[in-house]
Amino acid sequence: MKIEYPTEEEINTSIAVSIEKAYPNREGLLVYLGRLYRQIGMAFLLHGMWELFLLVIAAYGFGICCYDKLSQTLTGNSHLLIILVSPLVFQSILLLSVLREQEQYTYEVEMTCKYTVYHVLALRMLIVSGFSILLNAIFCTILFWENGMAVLVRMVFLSATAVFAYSLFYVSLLTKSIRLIYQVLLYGAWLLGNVLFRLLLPMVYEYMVWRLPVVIHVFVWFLFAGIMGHKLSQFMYRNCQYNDVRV
Amino acid sequence: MLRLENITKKYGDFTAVADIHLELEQGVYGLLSPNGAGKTTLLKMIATLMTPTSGEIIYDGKTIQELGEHYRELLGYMPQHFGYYRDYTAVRYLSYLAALKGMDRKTAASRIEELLDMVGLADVKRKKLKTYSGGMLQRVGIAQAMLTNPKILILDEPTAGLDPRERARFRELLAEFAKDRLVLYSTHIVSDIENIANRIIMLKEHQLYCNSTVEELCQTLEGKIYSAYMEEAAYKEFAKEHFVLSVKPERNRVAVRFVVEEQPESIGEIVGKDSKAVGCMQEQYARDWRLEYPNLEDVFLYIYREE
Repeated sequence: MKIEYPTEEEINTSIAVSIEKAYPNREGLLVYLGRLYRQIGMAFLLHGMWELFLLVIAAYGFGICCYDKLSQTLTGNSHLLIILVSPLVFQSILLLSVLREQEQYTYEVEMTCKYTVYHVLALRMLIVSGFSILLNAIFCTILFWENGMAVLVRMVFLSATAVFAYSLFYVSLLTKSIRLIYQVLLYGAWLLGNVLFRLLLPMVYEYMVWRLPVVIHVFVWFLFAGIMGHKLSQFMYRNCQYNDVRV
Repeated sequence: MLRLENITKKYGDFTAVADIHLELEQGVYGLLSPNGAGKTTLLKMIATLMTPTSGEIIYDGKTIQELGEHYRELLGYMPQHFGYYRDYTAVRYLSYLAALKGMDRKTAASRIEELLDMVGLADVKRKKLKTYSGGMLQRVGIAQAMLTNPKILILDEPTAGLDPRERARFRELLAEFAKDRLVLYSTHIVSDIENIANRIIMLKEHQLYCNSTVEELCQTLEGKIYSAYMEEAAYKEFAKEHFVLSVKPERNRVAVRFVVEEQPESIGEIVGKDSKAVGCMQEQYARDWRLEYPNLEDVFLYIYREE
């Protein structure tokens, strides 16, 4: 009986699978995403999203230009605005990118590639999170510069925590479904939850936002960032294997 | 190479694919069945787009879940409804998919040029996809599936929208490509696969009906396919009693191709004096009767005659 010797490709695949089984996911999330970024490149990663980025920057520019009126309107509620707006930037950019892909019905081909829609979404989420945190930091700096460094730092971390907290819900949602309607409902729930919290438990809300030591805000931010990284990693690896496309 | 072990896919009470067991080696496999028999569901499970309700898909001894991205690296897939970015050019779209498929830019660029040339889109490669005709888009879809020279190529109705010349060109391209590879080609256009498929897989009532060569399938109908010329009135009577495969009107008569289950002793048994149709038949048509060699389309129509 003649047994054919495996091809070079079959040997390499077998080695790769064995190594991965023995040392599963040893590559850190950031290293993996960095490799993914170099592979896909900014142009493809954010394809069709440049207009959205510009739109968001324009909206912020408008907000800054109307600073005087804004600060009068916001008296006592500026923190609520920050908590609501920062995830809104994150959500709107991602929502429209998902909408665009759904309209074109490109998932079927993209999901059978080495890097699937989920990998791309994970990297996009990270980039969009960074973008909205940066934009909010600039916004907060302009809005709260006069209130001193402590308030500014508090506000920056508050907005960044809001982004990560929201993105945690977002990732959990995406693990179940990437249907557009759920994403809209998620932001609706975030908005409603925060406004109700502010109205029904004003003392607790006030305390959490203004009175808690800044160091706790910083700690919470790091905690959320860590959980977010873990969730993102789970999201990618879980979905990159044999999953139904649920759009 | 690829083994499907008792694959079942259910949606609530509805079973789309039931208990399919297949072993697929290198070569072209034509997946043939009428619409709604479960072809696309089966292909989607092999392409990792759907999870079987039960059963496993094994490639080289490992489940495709285990293999994850290593399996997808070996995969080329062209879905039935091919999505694309309207504002992309063919080159840009293929470059994007090449990036997702993990190809390095230099290799991707030369492969894209080669493929666009092969599918006859080299002249329009810088035009936006929204300006392409259905056939041109279909060819982009074919090109993307072949980008990485995949070991497993899954094509779901790839020739839909292609004109006969493009279909012939595609068959040529596929025949060349299929060497040392596994190609799963789903279609309900029998002529597309008759000459290039090494084996034909047929699904019936969501189950595997057969996995045979074209020759084996045709043999099952050998001696049962006949053709004859009849008058239209005679044909109407005749069709009530026999399974007619095709009818072609010719001046004042029709050419009929049909199946006879039992081997007839004479023409008279079929279209002659003993037949119910005899009263309507003219003697001259009986002379035109002849036994035909079955083709895959006959087999397809015969197997799915009740559907």
